[in-house]
Amino acid sequence: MVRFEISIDHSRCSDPLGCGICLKICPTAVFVARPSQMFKFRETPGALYRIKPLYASMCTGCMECAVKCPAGAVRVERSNVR
Amino acid sequence: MFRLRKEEMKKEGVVPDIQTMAEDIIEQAIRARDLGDTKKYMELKTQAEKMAQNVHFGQVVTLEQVKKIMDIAYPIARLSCVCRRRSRGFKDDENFFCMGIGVGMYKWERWPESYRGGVHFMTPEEAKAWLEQVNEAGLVHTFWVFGTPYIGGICNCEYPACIGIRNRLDYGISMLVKGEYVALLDRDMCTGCGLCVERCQFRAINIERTMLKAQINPFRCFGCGLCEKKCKHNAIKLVERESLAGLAQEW
Repeated sequence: MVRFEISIDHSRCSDPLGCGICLKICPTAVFVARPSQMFKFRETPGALYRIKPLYASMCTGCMECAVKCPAGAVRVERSNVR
Repeated sequence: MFRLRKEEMKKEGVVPDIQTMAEDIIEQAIRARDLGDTKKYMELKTQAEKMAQNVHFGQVVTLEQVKKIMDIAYPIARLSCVCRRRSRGFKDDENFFCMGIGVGMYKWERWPESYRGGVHFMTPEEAKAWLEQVNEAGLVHTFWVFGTPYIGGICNCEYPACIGIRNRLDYGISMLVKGEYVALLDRDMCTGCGLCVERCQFRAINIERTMLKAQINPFRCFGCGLCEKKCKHNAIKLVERESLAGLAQEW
């Protein structure tokens, strides 16, 4: 069941690993940071990581992430899918 | 598998198509389950578990077992934990919670840019002492294969930061299998002090308030032995899973 649709504005979220506030404060650890690209023989730089609400079904709608995000990149809305 | 992957990685900046870790399938399975598509979820779950069994699965081990691994494995190194970086945004220099074993560590020493934070080599004695500290802190030891049957990593896991425990407990996807042991409680010895409850990462223990005794659910127990280490009254014993008929098939 998806109760909340969480969307991330990637143009505002420029350094997901350096900031990581949403990852740390979420009570149910809804978000993950993932490399958007892979490279030969070297690790993906932090700036190419993207935040993804992978475990969105565990969102309680507390809105901590939307309030605390310094860039205002997180939006949490009630979902139509039930 | 490695050869295929190497071909794929030849061009700079190319996203590899080969899913060694079944991550994309698990993501689709989670989505299907969230949307209530049980049939699709079961299909994808089976596919992901099969892939995990062939390439990358883990099992819970006790402190004694992981110390035995330290005696036979070479070389041993501490690594930055990929799960905690992903799930909780740990910085690489404060994230050395996992261990790598085997020749792969030389590769990462030679080319430090190919693994975040690099590797810190340890002697077996240092490794054992460190694992004891980690156990005291309450992390669950697990081993992970990289291409079955080769063990390449020893992780020290917790819920919800670790992907294996997360997928297993919340989404029923068994990339992480239960340990060889299961914790049983001697209720005569138990005083209901509750020290074991906070040690369990698998929601297997609670206190029955009216009887003031702990209760361990053997079907939820992963056999990590953390509760047994902390019990002051020797009320918890680890027994082999296969010695109990009802649990022998519960992996």
